Amino acid sequence: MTLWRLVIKEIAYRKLNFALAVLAVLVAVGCLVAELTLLRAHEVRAERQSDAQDARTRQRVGRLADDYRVITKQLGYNVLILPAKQDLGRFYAQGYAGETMPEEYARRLSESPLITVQHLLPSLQERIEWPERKFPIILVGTRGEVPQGHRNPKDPIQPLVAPGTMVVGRVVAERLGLEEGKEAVLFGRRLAVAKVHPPRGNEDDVTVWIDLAEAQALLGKPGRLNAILALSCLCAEATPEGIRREITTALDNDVQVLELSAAAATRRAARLRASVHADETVAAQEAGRAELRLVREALAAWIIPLVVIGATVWVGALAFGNVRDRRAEIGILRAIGWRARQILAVLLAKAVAGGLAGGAVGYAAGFALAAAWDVHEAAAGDAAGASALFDPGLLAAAVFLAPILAAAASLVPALLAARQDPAVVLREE
Amino acid sequence: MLRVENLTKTYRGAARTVRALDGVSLEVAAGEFVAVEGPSGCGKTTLLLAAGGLLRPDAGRVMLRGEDPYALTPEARAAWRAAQVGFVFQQFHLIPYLTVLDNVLAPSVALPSADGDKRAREWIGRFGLADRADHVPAELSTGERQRVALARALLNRPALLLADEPTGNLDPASAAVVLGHLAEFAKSGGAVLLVTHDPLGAEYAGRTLRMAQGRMLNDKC
Ligand SMILES: Nc1ncnc2c1ncn2[C@@H]1O[C@H](COP(=O)(O)OP(=O)(O)O)[C@@H](O)[C@H]1O
Ligand SMILES: [Mg+2]
Repeated sequence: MTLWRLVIKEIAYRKLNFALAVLAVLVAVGCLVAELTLLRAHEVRAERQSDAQDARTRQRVGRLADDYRVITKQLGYNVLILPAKQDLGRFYAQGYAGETMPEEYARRLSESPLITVQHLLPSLQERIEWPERKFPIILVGTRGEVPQGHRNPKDPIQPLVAPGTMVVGRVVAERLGLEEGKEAVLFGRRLAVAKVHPPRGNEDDVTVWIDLAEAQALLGKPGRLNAILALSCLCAEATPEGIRREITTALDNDVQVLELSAAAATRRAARLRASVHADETVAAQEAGRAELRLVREALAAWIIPLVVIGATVWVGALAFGNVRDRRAEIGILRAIGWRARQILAVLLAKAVAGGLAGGAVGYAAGFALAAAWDVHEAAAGDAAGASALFDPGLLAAAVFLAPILAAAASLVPALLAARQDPAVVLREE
Repeated sequence: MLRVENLTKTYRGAARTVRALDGVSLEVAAGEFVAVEGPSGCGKTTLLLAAGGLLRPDAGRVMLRGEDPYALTPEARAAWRAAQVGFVFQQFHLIPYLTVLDNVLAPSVALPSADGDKRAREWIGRFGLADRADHVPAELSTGERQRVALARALLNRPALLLADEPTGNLDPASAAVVLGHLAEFAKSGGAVLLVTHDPLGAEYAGRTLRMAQGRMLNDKC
């Protein structure tokens, strides 16, 4: 006879009580494991998808750069035209030219018979504090292309910012509470928010694009520009030097011409056009996934305590019932000399056994459930897979913590039973 | 061996206060079988529990082999019970899910010994239960159950055997067998204190005391 033998025989004798305790732990552990494993599945899939997305994006950018190189060869050069007085050091440091030049230069360039420019994008840009909101922004006045005097552009760049509207970067929108369709007052002028850009992780996030003429008026620089982006410039002498010379000459040597790399030109064009790339769909996908994850986490945040408390109460109640059934048995064991701590050990050992069984089976059930759900939820071939989902730490926690929790839940009834006065039950006839 | 001096015990219930023991004294020598007879409710069980170290009296003293169990801590008193006292009750109080052998061996958990298993089988054989060793109590007759309880009480070779109405649930033949075993234990040098309202006990006891309303009637022992 040992304590363990008694524990095991008693479990076999009162199967239902034990089975219900195991079930409580099983349900609790199963829920938790399923929940946490699903979160993990979610993470694994999101990571894989964003890796794939990254690879695709890199590939696309690479192709784009290649294309650009080819196109540049065929179609000409991309240049940025700045006022002659502009100090280039300051330009690079500041990100835009502080000096200005007449807007008329754009028209003159477009009308020059010696140079053809596919896209001509004049802009006025300044780093300012939004006076009404006391918030620093980069204000960009932009407009559509300057129509070419002597030819029709093949792929026109649409004017994106209509007069009376603005397009804002994500950080500005968030900080100032701007939403598409809302209005905001900038330098006393009421402008409708036409669009809020998804986050881009660069200065675009703090940029506000408005119509060029409005920007000129607001910044007190009517008819002035601080940059002209000219894409696909060609002239008789198709070299960078030739282009530079022709443009400078056409504009009275009052400008300087920077040749842009394909990538820089693309970026700059994109910024000026305030265009939205396929990145938006990526962002939307990511936002959707993040939202799902938030929902799951919120669910976990109340399911976990609920399930733990529920199981604890359940196991505790079963332990109470069990020691009540065993009053006579415990009384006689105390009478024949068993110590209170031996009774306690018997009762807690039973709780631990139940916790262990419930923890192990609950883990298996929860894991299987989550893995099945993952397969069900994921697109074809996209499931995280059981091996990626298996978390040895979670398994260890389940089989280690469940018995502790079960023992803790049974502690009060076990202590009461161990301290029970044996005389009381033995006196009963 | 057992000396009980002037025991007093009062139960204070919500409704009433009962003086279950009112200055009870008695002595049981080694090798003696003493029966205490009295009507139901006169305090016999209270006396037995007090003598066995399970119920602290309000006043008076219990001494077994010169030792006062109530001077010990509760855990030490439990160890003392395991070593010195065997109990037999009217309700047998066997553990329902343990076999006869395991029931008899239950005291060995409280007082481990190398030859516990051997002694348990000896008692089981002596009480005619050899072919019942692997049965659970529900499969036994009441007479057999009480013999299992007796074997359990004797496993650790106690100095004192306390029996509370051990024949109360038995037919006369089984009762006789159990009382015979009690007498035999006394003959082998143990002290036996039997409390009962069944006059049959007196026939096996060496000495019979009478009790009523918490007092000894023939108060000369
Ligand atoms: N816990 C208790 N509370 C109040 N009265 C009790 C309690 N236990 C026993 N009694 C009373 O004490 C008296 C003696 O009881 P007991 O020792 O069991 O007598 P007996 O064993 O001779 O029948 C009885 O009147 C009984 O009702
Ligand atoms: Mg009684």
